[in-house]
Amino acid sequence: MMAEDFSKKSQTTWDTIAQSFDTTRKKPWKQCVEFINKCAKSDTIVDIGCGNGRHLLLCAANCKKAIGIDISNELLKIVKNKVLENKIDNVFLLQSDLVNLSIKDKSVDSVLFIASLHNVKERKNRVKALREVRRILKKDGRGLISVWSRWQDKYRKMFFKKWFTSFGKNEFGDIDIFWRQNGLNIPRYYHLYSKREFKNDIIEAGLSIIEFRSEKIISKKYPDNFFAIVQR
Amino acid sequence: MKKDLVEILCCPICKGDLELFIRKKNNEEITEGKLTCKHCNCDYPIEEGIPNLLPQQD
Repeated sequence: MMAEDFSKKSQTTWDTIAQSFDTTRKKPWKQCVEFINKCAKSDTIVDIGCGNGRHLLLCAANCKKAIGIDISNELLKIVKNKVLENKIDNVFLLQSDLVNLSIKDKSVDSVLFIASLHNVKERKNRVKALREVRRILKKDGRGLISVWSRWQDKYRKMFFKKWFTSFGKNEFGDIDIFWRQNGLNIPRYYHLYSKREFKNDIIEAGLSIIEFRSEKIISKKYPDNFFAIVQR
Repeated sequence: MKKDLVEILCCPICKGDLELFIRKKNNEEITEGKLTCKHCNCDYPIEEGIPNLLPQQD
C-alpha cells in the first residue's frame, strides 16, 4: 500500500470512531502530566497525534502555546469545541500527517508524541516520523514519546503464536486492533513495539534517550507501554 | 486558526514557507482561507478554522 493510501485510510478510521473514542479518553496519563509540568511557561509545545485533546488542554494551561496535530478532522473538531467551551486562547490546531509534519525546523521547545507512533505502517515511516520530531525541536528541546508494548498481557499469547505461523509475512508486531464500542467494529492498524526496537528506532532517527521507562497502565504482569524522554 | 500560527508552519512536503490567504474571519480567528507554499505552490485549505496540511493529492 502506498503511504498516501495508508494515510487516507487512517484518516477515515479515526474520523469514524472519533466521537466514541472521545468518551473513553478522559484522564491524562500521569507520565504525561509529569512531563508537561516540567515544561517552561514560555514553551511552545506540540502534541503530535493529539486525539481528543486530553493532554493538549493541559499543555495549554502550562505553556505559552500548545499546538495540536492530528490526522483526523473529526477529532480536531472535538478538541476545537472543548477549546471554545473553556475559552482557551493559546491552542492551535492543525490537520497534518505525522510522517510529513508541517512545522518549521527547530521551532518548538517540547514535543508530546503519545500513543501514535505505533499507528504508522512500516518501519521506514516510523523512523521518518521520529526524524520529524528531531527536526522541529529546538536545540536542547525535549520530547516525550510513548508506544504500546508487544509483549503485554493482552497480546502476548497471540504474538507468541504469530511468531511461528506468520513469520516474515508482515513486519513482526503488526496487528489490527478493533474498536468495539458504541456498536462500532472498526479495525485499527497497530505496530506493537518491543523495548529494543523502540530504542533502536529512536536512535536511528538521530534522537538521544534521556530517560526510558516501561510502565503497566492496564496490564498486571508485563508492561503495556514504553515511555522515552528524548532530546535533539 | 490564528494568524501568528503561520510563523511556525511550513509546507509538509518541501518545507517551504507558507503564505496566508484569508477568505473569512471572525475577530482574530481565520475560519476560511488557504495557505500556499511559496516554494512549490501547493495549496492547503483552511476550513472551519482548521488548516489542512495533509499532502494534497493532485
